[in-house]
Amino acid sequence: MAWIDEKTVALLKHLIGNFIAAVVVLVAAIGLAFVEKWCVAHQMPDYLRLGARTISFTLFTLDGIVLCGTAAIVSVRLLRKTWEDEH
Amino acid sequence: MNIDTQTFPSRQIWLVAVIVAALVGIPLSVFADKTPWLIVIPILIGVTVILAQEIWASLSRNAQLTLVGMPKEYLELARYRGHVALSIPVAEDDTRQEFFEFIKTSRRKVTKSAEVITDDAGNKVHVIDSERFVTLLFNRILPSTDQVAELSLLRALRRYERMHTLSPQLEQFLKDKTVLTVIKADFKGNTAQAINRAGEAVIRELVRQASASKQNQLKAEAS
Repeated sequence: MAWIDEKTVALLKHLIGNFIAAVVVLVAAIGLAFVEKWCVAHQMPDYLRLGARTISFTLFTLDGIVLCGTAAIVSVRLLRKTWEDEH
Repeated sequence: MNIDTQTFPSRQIWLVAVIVAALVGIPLSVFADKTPWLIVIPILIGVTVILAQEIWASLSRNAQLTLVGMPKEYLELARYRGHVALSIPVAEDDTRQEFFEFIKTSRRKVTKSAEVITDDAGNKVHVIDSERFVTLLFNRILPSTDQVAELSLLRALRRYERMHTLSPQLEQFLKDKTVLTVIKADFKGNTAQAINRAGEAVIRELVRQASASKQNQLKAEAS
């Protein structure tokens, strides 16, 4: 593994670990979005539909922040490391 | 050298995500049907907070590295309320010793625990053996001297890196583990010696000042 050093590997491990956790949340959010559709199709009470939508939207938000935040931090650290290595 | 140990803030990322999603995401979910693009707002807020934390942590890491951890019960000396005295051994060394006879003589035993005496005004004074004080001082300082030496070496290396004229021999020399170990050991030894000498000098100076002050007081009373 000569083309990649230990620090980069450690950063990528964190990235992958957070992405896996985020995928689990994403699956839950998509599942709740389907629940909302199901509630509309079967004319379930509004509070169930609204509850499913609220939780689904919040989970999508959470997922977006974790994914983008992790990617941003990893990018910043990799850029900084590259700059330090070059200079 | 293991100085640049940056831990990945996974916990902080999730904490910020949960808080922002709860505070901003839930209210915005009311408009999710008509304007689903509003999800961008909490995501941008969260990412901005996470990045700001990262930059702030990076700046404070560069500003100062913590080398010595203070215990929880630590009080600054200015806030210390009490009396502490150092006891210095007054017995002279036996000058009549002959060759290797000093091995037979028993060394003065250092008192580990502080003795508490009460002065005329009823104040309690903790009397600490000066050797014990110096030993404890060494025990506290020496573990961090390696870190201090590593930090200085790292700063020196970075300065060399900026010069763009680092010769391969010098680079090899500075990265050699044996050389680094020797530098750290030397730094530790010199630090110990400096503390020992400075500590003794401080104690002698304080005793001299106290004696002079007492003599002046006695002269004033006599006249």
